[in-house]
Amino acid sequence: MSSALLSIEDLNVSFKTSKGIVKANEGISLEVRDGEILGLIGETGCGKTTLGKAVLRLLSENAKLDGKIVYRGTNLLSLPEKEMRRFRGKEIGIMLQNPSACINPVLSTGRQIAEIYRYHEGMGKKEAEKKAGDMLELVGISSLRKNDYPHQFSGGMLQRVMVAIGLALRPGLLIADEPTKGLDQDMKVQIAELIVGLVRKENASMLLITHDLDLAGSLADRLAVMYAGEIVEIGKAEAVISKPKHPYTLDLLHSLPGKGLRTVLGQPPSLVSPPSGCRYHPRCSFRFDACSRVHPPLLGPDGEGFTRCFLSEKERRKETLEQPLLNAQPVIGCEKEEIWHC
Amino acid sequence: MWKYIAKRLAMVSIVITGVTFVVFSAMYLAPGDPAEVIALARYGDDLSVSQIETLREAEGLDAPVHVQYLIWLGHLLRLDLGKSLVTSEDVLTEILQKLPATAELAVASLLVSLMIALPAGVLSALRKNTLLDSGCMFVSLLGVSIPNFWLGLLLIWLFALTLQMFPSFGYGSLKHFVLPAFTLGTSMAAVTARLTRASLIEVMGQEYIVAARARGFDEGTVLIRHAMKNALLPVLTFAGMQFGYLLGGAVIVETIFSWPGIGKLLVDSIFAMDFSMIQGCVLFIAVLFSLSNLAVDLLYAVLDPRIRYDRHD
Repeated sequence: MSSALLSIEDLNVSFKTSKGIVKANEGISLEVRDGEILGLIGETGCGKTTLGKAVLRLLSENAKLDGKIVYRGTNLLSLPEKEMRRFRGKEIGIMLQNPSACINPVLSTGRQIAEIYRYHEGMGKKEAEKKAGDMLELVGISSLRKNDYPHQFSGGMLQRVMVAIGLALRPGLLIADEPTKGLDQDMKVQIAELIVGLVRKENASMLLITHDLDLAGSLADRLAVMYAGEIVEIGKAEAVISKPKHPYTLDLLHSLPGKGLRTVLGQPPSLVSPPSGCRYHPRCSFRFDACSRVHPPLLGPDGEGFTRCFLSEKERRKETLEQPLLNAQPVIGCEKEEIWHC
Repeated sequence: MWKYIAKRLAMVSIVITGVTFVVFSAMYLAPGDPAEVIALARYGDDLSVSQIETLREAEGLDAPVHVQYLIWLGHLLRLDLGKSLVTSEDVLTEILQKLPATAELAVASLLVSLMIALPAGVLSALRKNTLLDSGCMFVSLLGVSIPNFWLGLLLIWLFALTLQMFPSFGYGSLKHFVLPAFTLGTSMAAVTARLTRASLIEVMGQEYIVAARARGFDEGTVLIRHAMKNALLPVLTFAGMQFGYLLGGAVIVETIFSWPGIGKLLVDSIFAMDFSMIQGCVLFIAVLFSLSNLAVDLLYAVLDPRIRYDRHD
């Protein structure tokens, strides 16, 4: 097994807001290994973006972080701000969501790439501009367009510019937050292949944050599934897709167009006051009495996979055959003491 | 870009045409018969009806109003604003003589205001909701609330009468600039500082600022290269409009400090019922105001590429 490049240990992120404390990430532990693509999937608002930004400490001032985020042996959360800047861009690149909002509208795209080289590598103007042009070519944009402004590019092109910016300094880890959001199918595949191709070529690692299961399943080596601020399942991508262990993963997979388009029942929970016990229990077809009272830990390992559910896969499959999948009735009557025997 | 400039120029000319119409109508909307008003200004109180009628014919005031308007427009196009009813001086020459004093005061006030407003606004935005921010904003609230004429008088009392540091009126040396420029500049600075603060706070909350930090830039670079250019756009519009207003002559401040500019000329003409001079001044001020707005629009296009290029470019 390759070693961990980034390891997140028991990370909690909360935001103080007028509506109360939003617990966006709770007890997150995961690692991104050398040369690996880890897909982080989950529905909108579950805390994926927060996790991505937390790694580089880019969250707003009202965010409170505790736990550890260790990159190549350095705990990023204990660094002073000045030290932290050395990691941003250079060690860890990030492609934030929504390129049209992330690229400064009043600076030309070429200049925005060139200034990275001027700042970090002390290059002269000419040299940096040439390098910026090369970078644009690398992501499939003619270097002749380096003087063009963001509003002159299409969504797909802007995403390519984001790739160029994210990878400009050849970081060891790229965090890509929804890199294919809002793109048509063809462009989605092109952009995804571009990013993965470049990351693999550099032998870098990637944390791919997306709600697109198909994409994550086909590109990532391992998948982590997030629900209501928690990781509910981690495992090898094929295993998670073909044999999901958590009911939420299963429901997500069933909501894919190719698998019946059945939506996950109910609304995503509030992160201010999440449900008691297992956070997914109000929407889970397999819940039983104890689910609402006992918070399941990450159970496993089963091979390489962990899951935050009391039910084993085998047990659940059996139930699936007997019960309609989206039946919201408790399927097994089981008390806390009996959980481990269920 | 050229298309944008042409469009702006066309709009300015429409505005100016509108202004000529309003300025011309003002003479007819004012109480009394224009011929009588002119005759009064020219010959004094001792008037005969025949004198008024002769003048009416001589000045073309007996023609239909729209014909008079077109004739007047024709004169304007030849830069002929007529002659003063009181001094018989050429109106345009008189105005142009007063322009340098007004322009100098406008530039000086703008500088004073920006030198106070920009640092105060930026500091407040970066330290928002701290004591420093509250302090700056309280002072600027005072600045907005204090009327010019009162501040002017207060400054004269303190710096001219009590401390005797600066002259209280007149024009000529650098010292003469201090009090009027400060009076005008501070009240402008108050609003500009608030605008700078609000604008910068908004920009600093944008995603491209987070993205700039994500590239590893320090806060100074993020502020200067990524935030300020965006944040200054609304500030520029406001400062430009203020400059246009100042160029038109700060009527009250010029009067208080006996500053020999266009504002004072306008006030003096109003008291003297010098209609053609009033018309000339108002028209000139309107044109300057439009042109300074045009300059702002063009500068805006230089700073913001989204405006510079048409969508289909």
